[in-house]
Amino acid sequence: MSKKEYGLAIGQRGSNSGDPISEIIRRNMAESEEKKRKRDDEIDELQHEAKVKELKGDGKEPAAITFKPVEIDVNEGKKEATARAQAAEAQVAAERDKRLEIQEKLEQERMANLRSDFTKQLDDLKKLLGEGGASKQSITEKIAEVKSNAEELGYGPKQAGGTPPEIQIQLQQMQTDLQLRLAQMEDDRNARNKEWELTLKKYGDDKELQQQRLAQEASANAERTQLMRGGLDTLGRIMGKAMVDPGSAPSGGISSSRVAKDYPLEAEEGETGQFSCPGCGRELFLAPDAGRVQCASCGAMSNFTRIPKAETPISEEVKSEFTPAI
Amino acid sequence: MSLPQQFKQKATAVGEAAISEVAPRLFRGVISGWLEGKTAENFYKFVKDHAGQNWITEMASPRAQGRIHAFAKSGMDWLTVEWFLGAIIKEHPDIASLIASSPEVKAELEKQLENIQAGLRLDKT
Repeated sequence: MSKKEYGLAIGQRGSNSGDPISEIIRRNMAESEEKKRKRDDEIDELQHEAKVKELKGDGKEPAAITFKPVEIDVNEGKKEATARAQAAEAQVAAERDKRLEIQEKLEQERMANLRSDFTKQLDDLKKLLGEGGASKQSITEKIAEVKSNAEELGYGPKQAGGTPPEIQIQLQQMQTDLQLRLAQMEDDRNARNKEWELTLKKYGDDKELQQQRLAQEASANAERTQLMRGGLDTLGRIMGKAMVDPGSAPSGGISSSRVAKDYPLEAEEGETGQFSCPGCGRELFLAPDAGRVQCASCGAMSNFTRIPKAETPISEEVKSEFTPAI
Repeated sequence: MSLPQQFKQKATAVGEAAISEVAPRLFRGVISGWLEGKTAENFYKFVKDHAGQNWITEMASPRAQGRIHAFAKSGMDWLTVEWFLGAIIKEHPDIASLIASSPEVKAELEKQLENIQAGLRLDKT
């Protein structure tokens, strides 16, 4: 592709004089032209010299001076000069071609960079839109960058011919879409925030309720365990203590709740057997070694006074029988 | 301490706590069954007749004894005369009155309960 063709392809951007790459290219071109001119001059000079020599060969030489004749092949010099001129021309042409090639490469790389940059920015923009977490400012910055890149590529408003209407419509549509998207994102964010707040509140309420329920369950369990563990055993201890040592019955126990009356009773020493409780009438058993018997039902205390066994009285008949007759 | 060991320790503690609650109830059931239909007079006669002998063989069937032994491995410090009186006072108040009033019967009962505990301690070892 020639320079002209390339310029047409990228939209005639030769006018932007501030571009350093264009500056370098221009400078290189000027230098090469200068060199070419110099070489042309050299070629002309050489041709001129050759012509002069040719002419001198035909002219009259001064007789006084005698030199050893030197055979000069003018044709050979001419040929040599022509060859040199052709070689120089070829070299110049090769250099020009090389320069043009380098220039084209540079332009291509520049275009590729611009395209990749543009694609990357577009991707970034898409990513930002997709994530929904981009701020409004960053997206507008991105749009501005994309716009500037589009201008660099020849689609911007700085172009002499103006932006094509399709692109303008597309840009407008993009902007509208973006605004719509931003508005939707804002709405979504607000909705999510509200939902999150509600969830947090609900979680807090649930947690509080659960804690209350757990505390209630724990206290109920503790109460139940206490009852199971110590209920009847405690009762037995109280009752047992009261029966073993009635005086030491703790207040609030069964014995103290009832009026434990003392009932004085009498029994012979070692006497055993059943007797009715003077308090409630329940059948109780008197052990031979028992002195005080407390009824486990009513708490009445039967105080037995042990009477020594009475000696069996001897009847008068037996007495008279064993009494010696005097 | 490894996790299985911790679990075992915890499970053992929980199990022992549960057994310590179950064992007295079991023993109470055994006593209740044994004293069913007995009067204070019967009980006194039993005490007199079985003085120095091991009541547990009379009180419970071999199966029930095995259960008591199994449950008693967690300790039977609760098995005292007081506990015994508390266990029978509702169903057998006359026997409870007899035990409480007679030093002889009370002493014999204490001895028996100590024997039971000693036997269980031996089984435990």
